[in-house]
Amino acid sequence: MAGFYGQVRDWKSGPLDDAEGELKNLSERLLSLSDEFSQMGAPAGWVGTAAEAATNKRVAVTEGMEQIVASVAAARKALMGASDGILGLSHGIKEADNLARAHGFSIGDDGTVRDVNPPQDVPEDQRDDIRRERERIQAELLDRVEQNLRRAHDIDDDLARVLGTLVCVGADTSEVTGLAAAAALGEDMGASSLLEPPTGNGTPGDNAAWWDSLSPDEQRFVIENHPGWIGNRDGIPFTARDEANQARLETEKDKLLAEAARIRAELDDNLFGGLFTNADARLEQVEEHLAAIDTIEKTLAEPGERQLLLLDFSNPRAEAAIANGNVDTADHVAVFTPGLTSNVPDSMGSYDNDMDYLNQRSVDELDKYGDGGSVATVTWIGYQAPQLSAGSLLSSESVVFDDAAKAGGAKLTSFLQGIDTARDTDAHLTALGHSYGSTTTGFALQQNTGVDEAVFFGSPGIGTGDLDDIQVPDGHATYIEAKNDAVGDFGHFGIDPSHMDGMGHASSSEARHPDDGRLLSEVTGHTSYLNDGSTSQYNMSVIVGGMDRVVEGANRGIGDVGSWPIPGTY
Amino acid sequence: MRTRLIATLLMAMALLVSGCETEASKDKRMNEYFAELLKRPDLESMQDAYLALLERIRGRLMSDVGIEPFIPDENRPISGSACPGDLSHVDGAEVRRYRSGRSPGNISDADWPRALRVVQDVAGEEGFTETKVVVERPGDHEVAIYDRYGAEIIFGTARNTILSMSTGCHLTREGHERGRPAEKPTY
Repeated sequence: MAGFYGQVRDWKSGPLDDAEGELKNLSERLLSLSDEFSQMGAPAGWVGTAAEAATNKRVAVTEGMEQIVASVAAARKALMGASDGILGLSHGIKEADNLARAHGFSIGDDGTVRDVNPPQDVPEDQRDDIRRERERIQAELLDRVEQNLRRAHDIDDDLARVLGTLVCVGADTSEVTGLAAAAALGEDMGASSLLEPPTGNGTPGDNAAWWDSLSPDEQRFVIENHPGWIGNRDGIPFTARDEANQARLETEKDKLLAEAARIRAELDDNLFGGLFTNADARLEQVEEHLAAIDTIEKTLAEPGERQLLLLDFSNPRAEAAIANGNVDTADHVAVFTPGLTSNVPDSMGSYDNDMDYLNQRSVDELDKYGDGGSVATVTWIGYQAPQLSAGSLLSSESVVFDDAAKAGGAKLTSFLQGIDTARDTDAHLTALGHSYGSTTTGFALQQNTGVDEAVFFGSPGIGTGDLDDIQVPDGHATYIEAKNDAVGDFGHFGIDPSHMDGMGHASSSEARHPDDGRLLSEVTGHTSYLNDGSTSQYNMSVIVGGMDRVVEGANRGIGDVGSWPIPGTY
Repeated sequence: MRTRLIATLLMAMALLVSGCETEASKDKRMNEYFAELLKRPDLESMQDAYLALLERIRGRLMSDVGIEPFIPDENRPISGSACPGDLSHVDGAEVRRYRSGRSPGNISDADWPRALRVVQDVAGEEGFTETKVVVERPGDHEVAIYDRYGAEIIFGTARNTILSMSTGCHLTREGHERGRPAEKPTY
């Protein structure tokens, strides 16, 4: 006897469709007989006890007919729902089986995930990478099995509920008159419930499996009626997230405008204004969120495909992520996390410009030296980056502490994991982190994310003194530091990345490319690494494109002498 | 550790002080940027001219040099964004980027001077007069050609031949016709 997962794997929608078809035929025959029965009516001029008894009987039969019609309609609807659900579930099971097969795993009939065909003869220097990759896939497979079973139980429960009610108590048609109303009542009774997403944020694997187990109609229904379920849910395809978030922009704006009006009225009504309440601060926050929506709308309106991958107003400052390109389909995806002072209203436009330039430079290189390739670049302001206000500097989210980076890193981990999980094939994935954003990126990459390349630039430390903690393939972590960038010498969160064993160093100086001789321009200071035409931007563009064309070189100055770590102290 | 923390805090305070620009001075700066950009043609007019120019260059390269037709970049043939850096805060100031995709194959070293001359001639008619050699080696060539607004044409050949462009910073037609910075939104 197969385990439950094996049984579910064999579920077919066809028999349910057949049963629904038979019920449909019976229902139509019943309705036609009912019409005939009604037209018969009582013979004209027939009165008396027998006539009255006949009338009563006819009413009773008609009422019975209504109950049958309602029951049949309910059963049909439930069967259609179950059939539709099994279509989605079959897709979800197939996705899991394909993923398992492609990576040498198997999913047993009892739902157990086994590593049946691990790669053999893996070179020593690739063992860690392969192990990480397999752990990530295995975790995703377990999530997918769990969600497929949840979906199967949901379909089964829905059908059992409707059929059980019909068998035990029948349809209650006492409140309706007529067969059409009875049929409508039955359809309501038989409607399937929509399986809600995993509780909380869900892991990317949970979320992807839940989404894959929904039928296309159900997915469409979720996008249109519950965009809040999926807009920020990692593991859901980005095209769907974008559609949901763009719809949310309008509703969130309406809510925020109403909230601003309400707070203003409250302040106007209060003799002391906001002196003894936090209404002023709350209004400032709402206005920041509205300004963020303005910036997001302007950015999305620019030509060229963009995706709104994240939209969150649950924190003091708005959080958002916008992609240039399509993250679901691009061959190469880069996620850029900015640092100190970044926020959506003031920074998104400028960083989106940087990412669009980077995208174009990367595509040019891929077209010229390779066989082409598509690129998506993401500006991720999905955390509460420290700000340069006195209040912020003295709070726990101050730039001098790593609290904001740790909290942001956890969210970035999930976002990055959601990229490969949501896609049919893994992207060549690069994480770019600048300044405090490099610390956030460093914390994120201490988890298994599927990131293939990490580029840190102008970093006060990446949250560790040991590059082995950063879970990217060996030789694929790169640091860029510009001349006169004092932040890059702080070594405040871990050690100065300039001195990290195993770290690659890409140049930010004026440099001739060692292969093709192109002259690239120098950047200096802390804020110019993404300048178009600079050596640092060029280096990022070729790393994002997966090309072995980096202009190497560490930029070490007097600050790096001072930041040399003392062995044993980190 | 403590020393580094103090140093970091001091640096942050220094940034705080240096970053304390008043709203009035920021507005003044934005107005100056806007006035400067107003002297340039609007973005939509430039786009029409630039796209036509790229079309002409591609045609001439095929007819005069015999390169293969370009395989267009279907993903993002045109993209745009706010202008770089500080100009990103000027409402209605934008840049555009155009991609031709790639023409399969290399323009030979012998044909490169002729191909370059074709591009320079056609681009020169639209004011692209400043050429910078980016790559010059056997089998691999690339130039950047600029107009007076900072628009840049990239033309190069190695495994494939590429032609792309990014514009300078321009006001949109709407911004141009408005003639002054947009009012700040109130909520």
